[in-house]
Amino acid sequence: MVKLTINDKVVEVPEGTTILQAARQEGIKIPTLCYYEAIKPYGGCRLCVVEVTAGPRTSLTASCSYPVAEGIKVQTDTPKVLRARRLVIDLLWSRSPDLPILKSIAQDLGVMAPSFPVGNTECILCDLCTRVCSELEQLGVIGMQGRGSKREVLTPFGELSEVCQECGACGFVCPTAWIHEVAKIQAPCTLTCPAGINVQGYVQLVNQGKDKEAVKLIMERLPLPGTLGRICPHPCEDECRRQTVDEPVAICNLKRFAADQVDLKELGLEKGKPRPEKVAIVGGGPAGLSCAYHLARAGYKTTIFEALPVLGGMLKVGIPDYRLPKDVLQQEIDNILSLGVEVKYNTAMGRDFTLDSLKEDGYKAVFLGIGCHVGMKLGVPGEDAQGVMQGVDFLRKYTLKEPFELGKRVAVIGGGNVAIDVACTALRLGSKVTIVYRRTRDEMPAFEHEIEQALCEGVEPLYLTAPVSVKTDANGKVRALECQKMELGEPDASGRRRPVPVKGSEFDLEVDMIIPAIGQRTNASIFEGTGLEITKWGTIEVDEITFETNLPGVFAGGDAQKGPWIAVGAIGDGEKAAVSIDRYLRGLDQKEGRIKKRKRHHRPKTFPIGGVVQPRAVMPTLPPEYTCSCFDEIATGFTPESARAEATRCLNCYSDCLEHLGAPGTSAVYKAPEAVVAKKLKERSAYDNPGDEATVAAILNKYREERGNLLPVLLGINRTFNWLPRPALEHVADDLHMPLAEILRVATFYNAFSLVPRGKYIVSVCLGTGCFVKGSPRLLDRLERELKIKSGGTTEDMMFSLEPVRCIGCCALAPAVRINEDTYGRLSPDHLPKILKLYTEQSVA
Amino acid sequence: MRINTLDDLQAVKAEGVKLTYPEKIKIMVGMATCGISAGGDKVYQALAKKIAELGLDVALEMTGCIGFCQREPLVDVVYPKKVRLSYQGMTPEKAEALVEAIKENQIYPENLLCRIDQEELLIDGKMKVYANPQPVALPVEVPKYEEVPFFKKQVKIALRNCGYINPERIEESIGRGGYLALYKALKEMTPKEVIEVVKASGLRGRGGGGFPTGLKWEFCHNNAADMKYVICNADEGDPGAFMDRGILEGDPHALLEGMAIGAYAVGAKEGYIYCRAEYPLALKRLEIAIEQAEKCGLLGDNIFGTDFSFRLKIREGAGAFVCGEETALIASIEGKVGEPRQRPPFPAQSGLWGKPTVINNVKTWSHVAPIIVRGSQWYTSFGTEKSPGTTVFALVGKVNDAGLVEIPLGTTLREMIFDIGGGIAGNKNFKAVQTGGPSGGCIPAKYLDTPVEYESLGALGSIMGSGGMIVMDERDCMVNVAKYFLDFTMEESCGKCTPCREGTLRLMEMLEEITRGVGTLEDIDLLVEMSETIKEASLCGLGQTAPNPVLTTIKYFRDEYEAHILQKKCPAKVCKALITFRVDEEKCNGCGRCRLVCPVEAVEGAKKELHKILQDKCIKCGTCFDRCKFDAIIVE
Repeated sequence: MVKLTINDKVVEVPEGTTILQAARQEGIKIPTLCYYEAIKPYGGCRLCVVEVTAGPRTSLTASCSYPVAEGIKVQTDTPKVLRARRLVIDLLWSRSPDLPILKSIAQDLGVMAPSFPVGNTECILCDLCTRVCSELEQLGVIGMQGRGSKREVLTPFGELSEVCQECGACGFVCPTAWIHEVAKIQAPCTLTCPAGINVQGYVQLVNQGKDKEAVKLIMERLPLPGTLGRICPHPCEDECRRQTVDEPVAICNLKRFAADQVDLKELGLEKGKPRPEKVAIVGGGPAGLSCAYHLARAGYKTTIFEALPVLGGMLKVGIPDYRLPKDVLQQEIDNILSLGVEVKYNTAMGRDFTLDSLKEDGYKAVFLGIGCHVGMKLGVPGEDAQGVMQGVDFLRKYTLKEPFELGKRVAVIGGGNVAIDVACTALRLGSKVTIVYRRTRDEMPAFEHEIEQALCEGVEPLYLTAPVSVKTDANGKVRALECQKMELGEPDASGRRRPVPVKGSEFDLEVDMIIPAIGQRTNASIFEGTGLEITKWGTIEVDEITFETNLPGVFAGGDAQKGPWIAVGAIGDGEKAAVSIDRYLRGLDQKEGRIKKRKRHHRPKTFPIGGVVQPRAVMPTLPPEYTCSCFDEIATGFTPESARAEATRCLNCYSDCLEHLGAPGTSAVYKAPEAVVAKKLKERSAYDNPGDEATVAAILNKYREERGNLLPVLLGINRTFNWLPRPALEHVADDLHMPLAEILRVATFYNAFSLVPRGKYIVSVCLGTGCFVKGSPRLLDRLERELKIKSGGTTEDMMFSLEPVRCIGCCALAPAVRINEDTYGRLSPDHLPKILKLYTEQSVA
Repeated sequence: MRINTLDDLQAVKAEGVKLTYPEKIKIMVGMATCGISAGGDKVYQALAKKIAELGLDVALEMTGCIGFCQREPLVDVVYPKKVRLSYQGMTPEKAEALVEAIKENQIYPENLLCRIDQEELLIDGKMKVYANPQPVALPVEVPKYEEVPFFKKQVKIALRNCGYINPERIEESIGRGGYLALYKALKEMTPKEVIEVVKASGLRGRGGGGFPTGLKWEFCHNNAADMKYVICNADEGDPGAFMDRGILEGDPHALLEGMAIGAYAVGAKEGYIYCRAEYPLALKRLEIAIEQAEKCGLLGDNIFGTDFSFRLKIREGAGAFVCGEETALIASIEGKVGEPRQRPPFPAQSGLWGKPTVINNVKTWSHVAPIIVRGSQWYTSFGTEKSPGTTVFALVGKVNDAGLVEIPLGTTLREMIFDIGGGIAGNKNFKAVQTGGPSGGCIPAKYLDTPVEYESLGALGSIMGSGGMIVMDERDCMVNVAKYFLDFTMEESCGKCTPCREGTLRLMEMLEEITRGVGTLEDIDLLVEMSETIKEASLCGLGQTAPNPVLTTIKYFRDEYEAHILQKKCPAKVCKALITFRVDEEKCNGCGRCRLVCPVEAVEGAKKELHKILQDKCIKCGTCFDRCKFDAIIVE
């Protein structure tokens, strides 16, 4: 512990505490701007200055970065301190007159108006965003460039960054909201949503009681709000920053709440001007419905070709009523159809039509969204026995009321959501159900609350158990499932511990029906002979940005393209494909301004600090004793009171986002996707000459063993090339494993470096004091006039660069000019034209 | 040629003496950057060619700068056991004539600067006397070295070998006593004793702060750490100062030896010389010096056969004035941007890569070896009580004799400017002298008798600084000078802290308004008030001193500011917005010269007729004024 005196009071704090922390602990108010608790103090803004009146250095000092020392005395509000703070805030406020935060600090300090001619930037150069990005997030996407008042926060070369993870940490720490604007930062929930819904926006609208507007905002992207509000696995919630305070906001439930309050017929969705082109949508699942919806809103005539007698795909035939009541889905489908979407039911591709026939029928574009409806086989002996039925087939047959024989004792194999849905459905139909899963409950991929519900309702789990064979009776009907006990071994590629069979642990599970639910695949066989490219996983190959297949005008998305995934992903694909189809039909570039959204794997360490704990609202449910025997919806929905209360938990990250993302009502199809600061990993820029790479590599090698070698390396390159070419900088960044932004920070700081090519002759005008008093500024003026360039510039013919220098070390010759190696001293301006002529003539010769 | 013992060192020394003082005639050409810029290299080539042509057995050597930059190119001819003659302002033609004179056994009579009958061997505490017992008589009248006003009041400690040896030969440095101090320190003294001697010598950092060197070493010494560093700040960023360059190019071993002694004292095994990349010649000579010292075992492992090992590396600075600040310099060596950080912790506690580090500049390090050999009492016999010893200044600007001068602290400004510098050039009146560069201040005539040392200059609002001394005359506008320095610090501010980054910008805006004649009297008060606060609130030395030129010019030359504001006149006739050029009808004879040189055709008038300057075209470049032989151009 260290004892110090703050404002005449003795205070004891642990070693390593800063004066700022010690003072705040004492309740003393010290304003800060460039300070953020979670990263190293910077001491740049100088707003937090205090006066150390006794200590190793008695002066004004930044309290944020001054470690306490035994016996020091500190005063936090002497006239000297206040004078300094007033000047600092005055200077900053004058620079950025429109910032409320500066105004409020200024007025607290008694500065009532900016004293200097005002500027118009909103960046106060506190460096927080760049420091947090490199220091805490370890990314280094943005960096400070330039020196002194020429400083600015930039991505390398001002381009979209290839390393940005869109984590938004910069936005969190920015005291002025400037970086939000620049980086176009969105809240993590919005960034995460695969369908690109403005999540934060609708949560805020629910918070304000504007349910209709909320649904309208959702429907800019998602035509099935009530459906997804019930069944979406909500990846948005995984990223919700409310977790830093307590738990994520119940975003998905709020979506359902909003949708439940609104009659879709009253929304009055706008439709674009009718367009003549017809588009065929193959498959009426979430991907196809989404694509049809967005195209219809854009004015296209769309027809859905559906193999089944119903629309909705897996949402309809894969999800039981107790999770998603059929009427909720149907109303939303009807709403899509009301936009003029036609449907051809019981019409299957390959059987009833082909890609060619669609073309012949005048369809100008096709979207393939046929989903994954074929169950994966177990691969054990006896699997084809009577009484073995795939999970997806079971659910479909039940939904479509197709006849099948239900077992009395049913074994469901698998641990995913389909397995749970199958189990709970069979249970409701009166079977005794056992779930056979080869790992433990902790590893089950199904949602925790679904598993819990299933167990409460009476489903029997058999963990660490794997099927070995299907045993049949004399009639070939299932008699039992031979199983084997497992134990968990080493983790596999997915990080989950691999189940390993326990020798001699085989046993028979007496059942009369076996339902495997271990995964689905798409039926790609229907595309044979069409020329459509299929991946080695049996899915449809598409361009990752446009979703166009190898066949022009044919697009694909959803499970058929990705393999089994979540509905909201398929809906996102449908929307993106709709944008592409629209552009395709208009003859526009499908890719312009669009980027592939990468999977987010970086969770920012920068979080808001503090917040009042307010637990997440719990979704009310019907009791399991009741639900286990009927198909009534288990979750009953939020009350308006609980919904509003839940919505207030939203931290409204970057509080101005709602406004930023635009009012509800703009059409998704016409709007270019938000330009976020992210870009696919890019190749290094090419060198101008093939030999340059080796040159740079040699320079790097020369200093390889040296600590802090960036400066020597850059000097070497600058000397060799006469400037710092971009490929060389990227090369150095790769080689030294440093962010490019960090390299540029250094490269733009020192006078020696040039980021633009320089002329053949460097005309250095000495502005050392010796030369200055003897008139060197006149030489500079004359050279600017003669060369017709500004100081620091290069002539168009790349002959001369005019560069004032600090001192060329020949004061006795003042005023002097150096051209490459030659020094000219004791000059008068009218000597210069003749001297320059020597070089222009030399070059011609 | 590894040197392990005193005998080894003496053997090399004997070799060096032979090289420096051969038994045949030796010609030396000043080939530091200043010499080369003035044409020294061409003179050297002419000499070499002529010597070969005539087949003379004459040694030709290059040497560093003896300090008299104004008279470059300098050529010295050493006649063994007779005399050494210095020639000034040499040209290739005259060099050839010089060689021919030598062939004819004659003394070349032109361009003679002085004769040197004896020169000091500082470390040995002896004189090298050319002719014994009496100086030889010469057929021409030449002043003695010690009679030349430029040299008369100088005492050369840091510059002890500059202009005497070939800096690219370690033997010559050793020949004049080099590395004896290192031997003494390593073999005969404990680190603590070394520190005590340096403390007793009263040596203070020859940079901005003037912090006692021994004390700094002691802090570092007392910090236990597995690794420590010593650093030489050779980033000489002060515009118009070239003291470090003079030493680096003229006697790099003086620095190397000082650093090795310092490293021994504080317990460092590694050192860095942070030298600006704009000094290619200095860098080259440093590289050669380090390589030679390593070969001799004077750097590297087990120096003089002791346990002490010391490696020295050069790190080039890429051009940022702020890197003169020690924490910024450290950041730069670490490969980062040169942004300073708040102290404490001081580098002696946590410096390079977080390890205790001592930073001194070139001049400070160069004082160390003589102090160790000659003792602290000898050193304190120079200078004043509070500021003992000597320091090096680059004396430039409007003096007759510009150059590198080393004076005992306490020498007055008047002695510097009027005795050493030979007074103001062109019969103009002295107006101010600026010390400390952009961090210093402008001192007016009434303080010319101020002794040059830390406290006195500080009391006037200036600083000693690293050693720039710029003399200004009546034609220098002090508002413009303040603007010049502020423009420099504004450009060189790293931008980390608000007062320096934004404050210098705002001061600059106000100064610009004043020089355009649109300032107000309130602006002067605001300038002072803001300047004071910027000094208090800034993070590092750059911002804490940046307003000094503004404050001192207002303090001593307020009338000039007021003239710009009230009369809309620039008394020195510099500020373009406030001056006009016109033709004196009485004096103009219509020679047409001004018309010819005007870059914008702003002069009209037929040959032999009165000329006229068209005010709407004139860009006030002053070329006509420079070129008129009849003083017929008037500036108002």
